[in-house]
Amino acid sequence: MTAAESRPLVRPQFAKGSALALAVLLPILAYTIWDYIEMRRFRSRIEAIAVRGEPITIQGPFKMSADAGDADRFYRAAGALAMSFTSGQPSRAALALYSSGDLPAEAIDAARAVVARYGEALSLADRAANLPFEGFKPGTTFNYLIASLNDVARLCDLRARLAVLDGRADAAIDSLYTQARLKRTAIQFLAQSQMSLSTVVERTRPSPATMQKLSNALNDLDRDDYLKTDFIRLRAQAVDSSQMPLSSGLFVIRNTASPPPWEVHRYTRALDTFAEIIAAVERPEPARIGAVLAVGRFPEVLPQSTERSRENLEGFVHARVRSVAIIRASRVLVAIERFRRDHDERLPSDLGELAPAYIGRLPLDPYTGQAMRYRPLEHGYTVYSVGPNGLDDGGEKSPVETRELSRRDRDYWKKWDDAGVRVQ
Amino acid sequence: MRSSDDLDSVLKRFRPAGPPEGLRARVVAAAGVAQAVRPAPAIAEWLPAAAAVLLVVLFHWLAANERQQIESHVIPVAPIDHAAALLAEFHE
Repeated sequence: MTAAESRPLVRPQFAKGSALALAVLLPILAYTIWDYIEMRRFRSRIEAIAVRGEPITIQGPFKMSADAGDADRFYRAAGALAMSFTSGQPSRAALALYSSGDLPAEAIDAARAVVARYGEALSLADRAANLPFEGFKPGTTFNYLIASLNDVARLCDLRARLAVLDGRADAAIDSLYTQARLKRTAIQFLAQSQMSLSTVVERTRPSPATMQKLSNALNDLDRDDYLKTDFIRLRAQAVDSSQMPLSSGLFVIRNTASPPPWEVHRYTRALDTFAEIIAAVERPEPARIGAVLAVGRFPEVLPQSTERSRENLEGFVHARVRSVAIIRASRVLVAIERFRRDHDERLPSDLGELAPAYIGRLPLDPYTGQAMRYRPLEHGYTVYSVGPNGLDDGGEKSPVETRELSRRDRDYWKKWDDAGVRVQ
Repeated sequence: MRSSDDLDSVLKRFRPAGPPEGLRARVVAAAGVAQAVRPAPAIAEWLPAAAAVLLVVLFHWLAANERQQIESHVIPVAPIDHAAALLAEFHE
């Protein structure tokens, strides 16, 4: 055998090295192709949002008027100043008072101290209340502000209750006005203002002018596109939380890693779910509630959707629609109180007596599309929506009744019965 | 019984008389071709890996391009210590 014939056609070291390189490269190639496909899908969803003219991210740059810019600054400052509200010992006492539905005499001084301590935050919220609000400027840490402004809203409520104790009816309504205006900034505030509004009108007689001012603020909150706005904002939060894009060019690496394709896939799926939900909530009331619940799942990238996605979607939608029902009931309440002032404390026999002199158009029950229910009581009245269960359960319950029912049945809140206001 | 002469004549009929003409030329030619392309199998062996590298670069570039297009809609903003910034703003 000759030397030439003994040589193999492929040198073993090359065969081994190239096979090894290929084995390493193929998974990388698969990953890169997957990354590209997922980014392409995500981009198509983002562009679909842009085509609809809807905001893609909360941090998106936009221009605002000088007044709206001031409102933005005042609210951010109020949120920053109220950041420690729930952590301090006095505030815990105040929150206990707040959740109890009434102010026990022994705790009033502590409540006054809390309101005085956060006076700057309240003052800034008061100033912002009279300004138009168009959103927060880019660069703000929005989620933290939501929580802090919620605390400012609680402080407004506490201040209103203290004003009632002092017999300052208009000051109480002014504080509720600031609270109502604060709701412009957030997705879901605790729907507690109706409790204090009832308290204020039960114990004091505010002037028609301040009641009208509060009525206007409530009218502004009663928007038909509330669910759509909420879900668009949630979607923008989801896009922000995706941390995309992070790499703007080949081999350009920023200070954080780009999300892997499986994460991008999750966000794309979430955007698809958002698209379904937003299409559903564009339907008129009350059909939109059934349509959105039929989607059956919450977008998976949000904290609300870690588990029990369907239940969380129902919880979110019902909480939001109920809060709108309460706002509408509050609007009717203000109209009834103005009617009473003009008619020697006589209550209207039905809500038809209020329009158009005291309320332009009677608001409708978001769950039925029919007029809100009105029921005179022995010493007052209740205005309400039948709620998610669609049954007339006798109207909004008093705080005492609600506490008792919640004590007996831990899942009482899930019954989703009537939602509205009650004045006694 | 056949004699040895008979056997010789039979064997002569079946005795190999040498390879057919042209076989040598074919073998040499084949060996010559194999020698000429011998370096090629090493390159060929690396071709799939090289193609994979090219494809990785291509798809990475395409993905980066997609990110750039997303970036035209989504402008990231660096997080700030908002509380500190706001307090500074209001205590000026």
